[in-house]
This record gives sequence, structure tokens and C-alpha cells, in this order.
Amino acid sequence: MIALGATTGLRPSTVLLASPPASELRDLADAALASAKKAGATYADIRINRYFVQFIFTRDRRVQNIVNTEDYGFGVRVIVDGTWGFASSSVVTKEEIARVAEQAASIARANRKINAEPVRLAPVESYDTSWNTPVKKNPFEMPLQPKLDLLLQIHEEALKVPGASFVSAFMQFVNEKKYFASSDGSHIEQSLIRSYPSFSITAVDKGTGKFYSRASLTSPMGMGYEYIESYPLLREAKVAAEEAVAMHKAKPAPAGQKTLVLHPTNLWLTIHESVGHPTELDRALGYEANYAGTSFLTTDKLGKFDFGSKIVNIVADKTQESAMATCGYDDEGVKTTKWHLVKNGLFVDYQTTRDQAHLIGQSASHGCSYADSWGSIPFQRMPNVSLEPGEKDLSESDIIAATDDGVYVKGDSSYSIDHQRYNFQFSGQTFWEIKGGKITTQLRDLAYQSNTPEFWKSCDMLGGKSTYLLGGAFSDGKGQPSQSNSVSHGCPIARFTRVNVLNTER
Amino acid sequence: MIWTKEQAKALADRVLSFSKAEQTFVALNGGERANLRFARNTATTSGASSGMSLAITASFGKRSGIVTTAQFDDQSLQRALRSAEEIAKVSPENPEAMPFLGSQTFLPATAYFADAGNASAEWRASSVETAIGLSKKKDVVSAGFVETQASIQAVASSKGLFAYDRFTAADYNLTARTPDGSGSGWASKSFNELRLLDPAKLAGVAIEKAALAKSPAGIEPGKYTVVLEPAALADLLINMVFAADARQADEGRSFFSKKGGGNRIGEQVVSDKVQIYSDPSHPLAPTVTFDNEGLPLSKNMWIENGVLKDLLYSRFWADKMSKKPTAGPNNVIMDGGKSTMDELIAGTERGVLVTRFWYIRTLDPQTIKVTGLTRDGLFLIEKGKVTRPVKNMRWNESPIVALNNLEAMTPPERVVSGEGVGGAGFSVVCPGARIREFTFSSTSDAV
Repeated sequence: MIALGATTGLRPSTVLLASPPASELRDLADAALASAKKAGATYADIRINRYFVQFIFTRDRRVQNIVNTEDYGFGVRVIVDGTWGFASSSVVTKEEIARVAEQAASIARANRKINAEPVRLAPVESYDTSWNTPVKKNPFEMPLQPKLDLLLQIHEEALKVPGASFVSAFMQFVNEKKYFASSDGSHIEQSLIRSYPSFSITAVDKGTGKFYSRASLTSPMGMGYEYIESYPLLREAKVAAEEAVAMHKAKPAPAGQKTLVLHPTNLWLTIHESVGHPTELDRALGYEANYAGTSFLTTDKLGKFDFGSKIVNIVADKTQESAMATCGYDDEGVKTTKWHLVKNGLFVDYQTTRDQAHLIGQSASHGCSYADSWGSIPFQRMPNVSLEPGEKDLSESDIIAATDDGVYVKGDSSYSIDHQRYNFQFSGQTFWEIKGGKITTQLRDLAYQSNTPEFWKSCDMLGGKSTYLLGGAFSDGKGQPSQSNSVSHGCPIARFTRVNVLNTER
Repeated sequence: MIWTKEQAKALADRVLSFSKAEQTFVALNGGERANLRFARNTATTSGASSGMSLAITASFGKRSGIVTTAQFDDQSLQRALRSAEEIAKVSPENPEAMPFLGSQTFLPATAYFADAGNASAEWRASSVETAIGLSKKKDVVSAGFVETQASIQAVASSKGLFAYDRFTAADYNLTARTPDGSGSGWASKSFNELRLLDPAKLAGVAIEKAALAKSPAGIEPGKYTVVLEPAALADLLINMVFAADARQADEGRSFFSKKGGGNRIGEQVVSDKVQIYSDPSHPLAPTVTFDNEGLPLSKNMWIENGVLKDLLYSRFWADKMSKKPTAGPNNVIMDGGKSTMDELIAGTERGVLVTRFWYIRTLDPQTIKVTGLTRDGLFLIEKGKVTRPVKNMRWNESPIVALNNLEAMTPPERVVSGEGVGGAGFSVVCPGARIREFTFSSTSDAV
């Protein structure tokens, strides 16, 4: 599920980061592991994490907010008598670490009597290493001025278009600096950087009292400021303003079964909801039954269920370049990797963690453990889940030309799916009619509704690698208390037949 | 232990004394929370978190910068302040910047209860043991969550503002499923006071519902009369209130915009049976008494006899439009009627009984049409009686349309919506209701 609302925050770009040196972190971590062992833990890990966020928000030609947030603390996780316990604090001292390690052990002891399934961890190698997102330009080392200038230029470009009424634009940068140590012998330091520029343009028609908005087709990326510089934000601002204005006179969307062509800026979210979530092992096993839900991909279907058509190949990958969930090691020290979830249409694997891999007979974790804060408990979170491009390098025009009667959807908008991931409904930012192999006109007020296996079995055409793009979000939500995971989904342009299309105005 | 008023004041004073900005604003938030999750009739993860966060806004005229930090030694505070001041200095002027508030008067605090603040790991484990025991006895598989917390909120400004408040929350929710996966039931409650939470009762509701919901059959999507349990109505209510921003309305980009300009305050927008307001002192849903700018919260009517009385005004927009700014709100209350749930069902010729909604998202902001699904118990009502469980359905409907089609209501109660609104931090009080012509668009196989 993608949660509503955005994470905000920031860190000053003009002040040097004040993280303790690795030797100090190692001492603190070792103290935690020793305290946990003394408190009776058979396994322990600690994450000492610092989070920096910069958020710049502009609205109607002015800078509304510049916010730098910094958050720092640690969390200790233990197993005592086969039961998990966790405690955390924002006071990072040896004394507090000892208190919190004992608290984690006492929580585990309190729950021991109601734990019927003693924790079993898949083995992991120990690592003494570091990993950093390979950025060309660290956004936290960039001055503010070029960021503000670019954001305000977006307003100018958009508001030049007659009929464009309102503009908002923002940039968000995140740096997770994580130190992980475990009683299995690992000491891992990582720095993850993510960047996101976006805008929204609204065209109000006072005569009719109607309004339409068009958001940017950007996505957050596991990249530095080079992503902002490489994306044609100003050109897209003008196009987006024109499309928002044109929406007022666009043809109302048809209703009924249509051939659907989805651009990667739309399809990424459909992949997230209809493939990413049902292939989470914790959901399939019932661990999320009370909140995010379970999965129609129950464990008896593993290796047997026809998920999609033969051209559908979907991979999980925490090593993918520029993707949001990419890192060197997960939050329980497992080295990240890439594997198939769906191969030639067949459902072949899940996303797993160390404590759940054995439940489907696997001997190693796929490295999908993540916690969104030092104060959150790590659990199974989605890696980058991506649809592989077709074997032939078909272009957008090849797919449009091969479509006699259909609709083309770009950008993500309204999204909703049931708690077992069957019935979904998605809208988009722009919609286009396809007739006789050509895009004929802009449409408005459209959504598509389907059932996951039917939808993926109707996939009959994939664009090639030249059409492949990454989409993603900071706000993949799951767990209680709810945690946010950052994740990307790559895909080519893809075509689906006989999908139910709705006119959302009716 | 959570921070006291004296501790918060001492930190705020220290920050203000170090500041070199023309004006400085300080917000301090945090506390202690602990939880226990269970699934598959066994404990899964459990944890505790203790943390405080400080946000500093430094401003020079209409330029400002905001920095947050979790480290409160003098050096870290100085570093955060210098950073906020530097951001402010390089920022362009924001013509909409409002001066920080000075000293204010607040309602008495009523949201903190020691029993929730002091809840132990043993209490949480025992509350879960109760649910697991009942689940095993009734042959269902349960998953759930219990959390207790105590938090503080404090704000201060260089113009003399200081406010401190604390609140507690105890949340308990669970989903019971039949072993064959064909039936599911759910219950959820949140209170400021631990003694009001009844884990055994909640477990009983979810377990009974799972059994009743077993092996549902599909019905044709279309328009149905719905009897909504309070948790379901709460999501419609929240989606309407959250869309009620005054500026959006005045700018012509909201359902609450008036054609040709202005907003719809004073117009009848929903059934005259509807009263909606916020009140930090409401006995079922007490909240902190000021918002994140230090503005005092007080009782505020949103809809009275179906007429729109007010919208959410930021301090800037209120100043520009000569209106009163809206503080918060931190709760929403909808008054109800006198019917029981059984009476709502008895008065339904053909319809469906809805336990909760799920995954609700806006589909058309012009009409606040939203989409979502039913979950954890949907039942057919025929001739005034619940006759059988039916498959979940997707619906596309506007809360405005639904509240115009309101027929009858139960008395209101404290609720947590299916989407989780109404848990710790934002309270919701609302009734169950019978609503005609609610639009379902397709069937879902999900249980």
C-alpha cells in the first residue's frame, strides 16, 4: 500500500554532518551486543541510525518552506528463549544502550508465554564493510540557491501557459546513514541517498466551476542531485500546464472493455500493488492479516500458479542501479541480491527475511528486512520489483501502431486494491484515445479496474529496453505501527487486452 | 518517563536564549510508546521506543528556515540554530509568512490518563493472551496489535508563547480468520484511558464476525442501501473533512468552491440530520489543547443541520479573508441518532451491512468521489434481517452524496476507522448509519 502524505524534513546543506566516527559507533554497538548477551539474548543486533531530510516546498511563485530535519537514535533487537524483543531510544550513550538492551530482553521475556513459534534465523555470512549509494552529486552538499531557482523557474514555465492557474513544486532529499552490528559478527556501515523533484499544476475554469490538475511524471530515485539536473523539469512543466488546461475540453473517457497501453510512469504503481505486495511472504503467511492484509498467492501456489502471460517476467532486485530500495545489505546484515518472482508467467518465489525463509523450506533469506527508523522494528519490506522489457526492442510508436482501439495512460493518480490483492482500480495523470494505430485525442476522467491474475494474463505486448523506466515512492506502507519503505519499480511500456475502463465523472 | 512541563520549558528557554534570529519558534514532540503484534495465534514482534524531536524555526522578517534535531546538548542546539538562521538568510521572502504567536490562553488539559501512560509489557502480553486463547477456543486464526503510549507536545516563541500538553492512547485491534480462509472479522478501538479498552470484548466481536462471514457468495454490484457500522461511516466522514480547506475552496479547486468564486459556507451540503464539529474537550475524545503553531483549540462547528458552517483556515488565509483561523483540529465528532444497529437493519428492505472499508483514495476531487473496498464482514440484508455473508465489493462514491442519502443513525461512539483514522493522535467519534443508494462497482474475491 502506498500511504497518503509525504515524508518531510531536511538537513542543513551548509553545516558539516556531525556523525560519530566508525570506531565510536563500533564501540557503542559492541556494548549493546554485550549487554544483550548478558541479559540472556541468544541473538542480538543494533542499528545506530541518523536520518537527514531536506524538503523545499514552493507554491505560486514563492518559497513556502525550507526544512532540514535530522533524526538520530538506535534500536536493539534480541531473541530470548526463541522470542523477539526490541527497544530503542534517541539518547545515544553507552548507559542508555545498556538500559535499552535490557528492556528489549525483558519485553521478549514478557511475551515468551504467548509465542508458539520459536524464532529460527536462516544463516548469514558476517561482513565488516561499508556501502554507499553511488551518487555523482550529493544533494546535501549542494547550496540551496540552484534548488530554489529551478523550482521557481518551474512556476514561470507553467504559468506562461494561458489557463494555468496554480503551481506547486518541491524537492525532497533523504540520506539514511546506518550502522548495523549483530551477534553473528557483522559490522556494516551504509549511507543511502534518495532524491525527488516534483510539481503539480492546476487549471481552474471559473465559468464552469471545474478544475483539473496534472502532476509531474517524475519519481523519487536512489540517486543524487544529478537526477534533478538530468530530468527535463522545465520542458515538462510547460507540457503539463498545457495538458491540465486541455483536460477541460478533452473527450470524456469511454466506459467498457478496452485495450490498455500503460506507460511506465503509470504501470510502476500497478506493479507495486498487484505484484510487489502479493509476493511478500509475511503477507502470504498471515503476519499482516490485521493491517495490510494477506495474499492471494498462498504458499501452495509457489511454483505452480500461472500469474501472467508467458511474456511476463518479474524480478526482485535490491542491487538495481538508481533504484530506491537498493542497498548493499539489508537491516539484518544479509547481502542484497536479485531473483525472479515471476518467470515466463509462472509464480516462482517470494520476498523473504531471515526468520521466515524456513517457513517455505528455503535455507537463506533474500535480504528483504528493513526498518524505517532507528525506533522501528525491522521486518519484511519490498525490494525493487520490476517487469523485464520484451525481447524485441519495440518502441512506443510500435505498440500504438499495433493497437486498433484502445486507451493510453501516463502518470499515476488514484490507486486502490483489496487486501488480498485481487481487485484493483487505478487512474492516471493523462489519458489518450488510440484509434487505428494512432493517438487521436486527449481523454479525461478515466480509471481502469481489473483482477490481478486476469490483468497479467492479458498482457500481450511489451516495449523493449529503450522504453524501460523506473517509478517509485517513499511511502510504501505496511506493519503496525505503520512503517514507510522506499521502493522502485522498473518496467517498459506494456499492453493489456480487454481491461475494464471507467469514466470517473459518471 | 515522558518530559514534564518544566523540562520542556527549560529546553525551549535554552534554545530561545541561544538564538540570533529576529524571531524564533520552538516545537518539541515525543514520548514513549510500546507495542506487541500477534499473528497466526502467536506473538510476533514487540518493541518500545522512547524519543523526542525538536523543531526550530528561525526567521528574519518574512524569511525563515526550519531545522529539526534529536540531540539537545548545547553544541547540537547551537548547530541547529545556526543552520536554521542560515537557511532563513538565503531564503527569498515569503509574503505569506505570519508572525509567531505570543502568549495564549488554553482550555484545561484532559487527554492524559496515568493508566495508559504506565501500561506494562506484561499487560500488553496478557491482553494478547486473552485474544489468542479465545481464538483457539473458537477455532479461528487471529492477528492483531496492541499499543500504549504517552506523549507530550510543547511550543514556545520568542514573542512569549509557551504551551505544554500531554496525552495518552491505548489502541487494540485484531482480525480473526477462519482456518479455511473463507471468513474474516475485525474489531478496533482506541481510547485515552486504558480502563476503557476491553480486549476480550473486541476479540469476541472479531471472532463472531469471522464465523458469520464464512463462505460468502457474490451479489451483483450496483446501488444498495448500506448499513454502515461506525468504523465504516468514519472513513466517509474523514474524507469529507480533510477536503474542507478554505483556501482550496476560495481558489476554485474544491468541492466546497462556489461556482463563479468564493466558497459554500452557509449552503446546505448534506442531509439536515448531520452535525459535525471538533472539540478538544469532548469526553469521548479528549485531545491536546493547541496546534503545532500554538493556536488554542476550541469547539468548532463544521456542519450544522447539514449546512456548511466553516472550513479549515490557515492563519495566513484567515488573515487575508478576515476570518478566524482554524486551530488543528485533532478530533472530528459527528452526532448521531437514537436507533440501534438492529433497528437500522430492521428498517432495510434490501441492502448490505458493512463492517469496514479499506484502501480509500480520492477518485474525483471535484465531487470528493472516493474509491475503496469493503473488508472483514459484508452481509446481505433482506426484509429487515441479515440473511447471509456476501463477497467484498469495490465502491465509488462521494461522502457528500452518501451524507445526503442518510436515513437513520445510532448514537455516536469513539471509533477507529477501517483505514486506521481515529487511533492515537487524532480521535473520531461517529455513529453507525443507514444510507440509501450507495454505489458498488465490482466484486472482489478477497476475504
